[in-house]
Amino acid sequence: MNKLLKDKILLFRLSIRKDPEAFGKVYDEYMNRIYRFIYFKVSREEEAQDLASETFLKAWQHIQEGKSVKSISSFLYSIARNLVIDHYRKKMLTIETGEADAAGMLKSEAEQSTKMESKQEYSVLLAAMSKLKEEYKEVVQLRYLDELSIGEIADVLGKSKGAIRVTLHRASKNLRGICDNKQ
Amino acid sequence: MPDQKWVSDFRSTLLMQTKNTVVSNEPRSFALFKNIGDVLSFVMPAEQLRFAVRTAAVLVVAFGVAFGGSITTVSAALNSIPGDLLYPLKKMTEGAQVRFAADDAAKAELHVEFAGRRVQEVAKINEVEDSGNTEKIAVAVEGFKQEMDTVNQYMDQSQPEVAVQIAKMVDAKNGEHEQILTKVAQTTADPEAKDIVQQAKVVAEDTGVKAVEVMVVTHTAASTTVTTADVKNSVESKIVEIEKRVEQLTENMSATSTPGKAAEDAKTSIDEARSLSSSGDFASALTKIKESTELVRTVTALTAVVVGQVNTSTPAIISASSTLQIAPRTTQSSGVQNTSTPMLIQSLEENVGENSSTPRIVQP
Repeated sequence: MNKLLKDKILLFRLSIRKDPEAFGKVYDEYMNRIYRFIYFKVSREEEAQDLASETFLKAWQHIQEGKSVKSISSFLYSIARNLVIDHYRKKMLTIETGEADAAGMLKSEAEQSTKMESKQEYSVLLAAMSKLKEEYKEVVQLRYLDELSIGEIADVLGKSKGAIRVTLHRASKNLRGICDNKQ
Repeated sequence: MPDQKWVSDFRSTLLMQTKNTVVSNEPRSFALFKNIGDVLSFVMPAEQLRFAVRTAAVLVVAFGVAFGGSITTVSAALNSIPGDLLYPLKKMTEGAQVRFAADDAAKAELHVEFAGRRVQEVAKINEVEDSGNTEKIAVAVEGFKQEMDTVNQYMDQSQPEVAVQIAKMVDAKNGEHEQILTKVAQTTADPEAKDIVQQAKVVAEDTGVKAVEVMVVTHTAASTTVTTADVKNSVESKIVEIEKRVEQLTENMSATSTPGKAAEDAKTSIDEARSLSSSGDFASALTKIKESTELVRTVTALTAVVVGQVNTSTPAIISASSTLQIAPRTTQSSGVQNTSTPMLIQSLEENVGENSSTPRIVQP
């Protein structure tokens, strides 16, 4: 069954039936990705665990309250992103990526990845990404690591699809520039 | 990748939570109806759906199908205490609630509520004797302190109107917290647990005094935000609370004993606070409230020493916000009398021989 259809069915079971088992499946599908998305921003395991847990608790609460969910990905990533923003606002810190930690964690994923042409390319990409400004880093991560569609990224970031395309284009250009400079 | 054990553990607790959350109170027949409509709305254009629903409704009424009753479940996590499996989930849910809250006042209100939950947990733990109670009480008290600390920060950092709102919430709940903690301190047999609960009481008292301070300061700066009646009510309620504490402590106490003399000083201070409040000098009344709070702590500490109830492995009462400090004791195996007498007590004992009516408080 393709992913889109699977998501649609899960969404139906969640929105209409508020089915806990369906939520379990959502958790299985998305927890690692949401955790990674958060970890890339907070760089601390405990904080990432806390925020990832809260993401799913909050998601369930939204579902219980009958709030409209158009896309499971956008829904979860939006919540996670807002939680990270609140987290930093509370701590009055600027969002920084612990390059060493995040790169280290993602490096272990790179070693398991079969999606890129070579693991080395993947590692180079990750290292280059960490040098991008936050706005670009975010869209690149969502697009290329989390594989969200443009529409989903637009929902998560609260922007238009056009704006996301432009940002992605500029981010990719930047990324290419960083990679080229390294060679 | 995240720690897979953590992922798996959290999955179990999350699904337990989802299964235990409140389900609709609607009678089953209506819930069934609604579900059918919702399912159809996924596949049918709206116009067709309306027709289908109307038809189905007629059929249902015609056949007289009706089911009564409701299904309600309450999250088991909400009733958990430290040490229970669902307790971490309870804390996580509270964290999520704070993030949902619309503004600082709403967040602070939640923290006040959660502080109350920690106090209820302490009381619940104390209801049943168990060897693990002290540790559980320590966890609950630590949680209480964190909540109060956060509330204090909100009072410090919020705009005056919001700070006053928060101060009023604290005022409303603090008396209850202190009463419950006092009861636990009186009824628990374990001296270490008693000491831990006493620390919680100190935090509750300090937050209560801070709330009064917010009212007084805001009234002084802008009397439209806090009316004279409001600040007077706040000040005088606090005076009454402190007075009750002194009365409880000094029941059957000799006025000539060291704690008795400290208690007399506390009463004098309370009377002065009352008089200043009546004349509208709330700032000075607040100073006297703080002074009497410290004196009552002195009485408590001295009383504990006299009856040998203080745990020698833990520091005696230390007020985080006051200038009054008592040095930690060195440990003794017997726990009856300690040769390393705290600084304050030495000072007070020195005063016994003098004609001074006010104990000389040793400043660090």
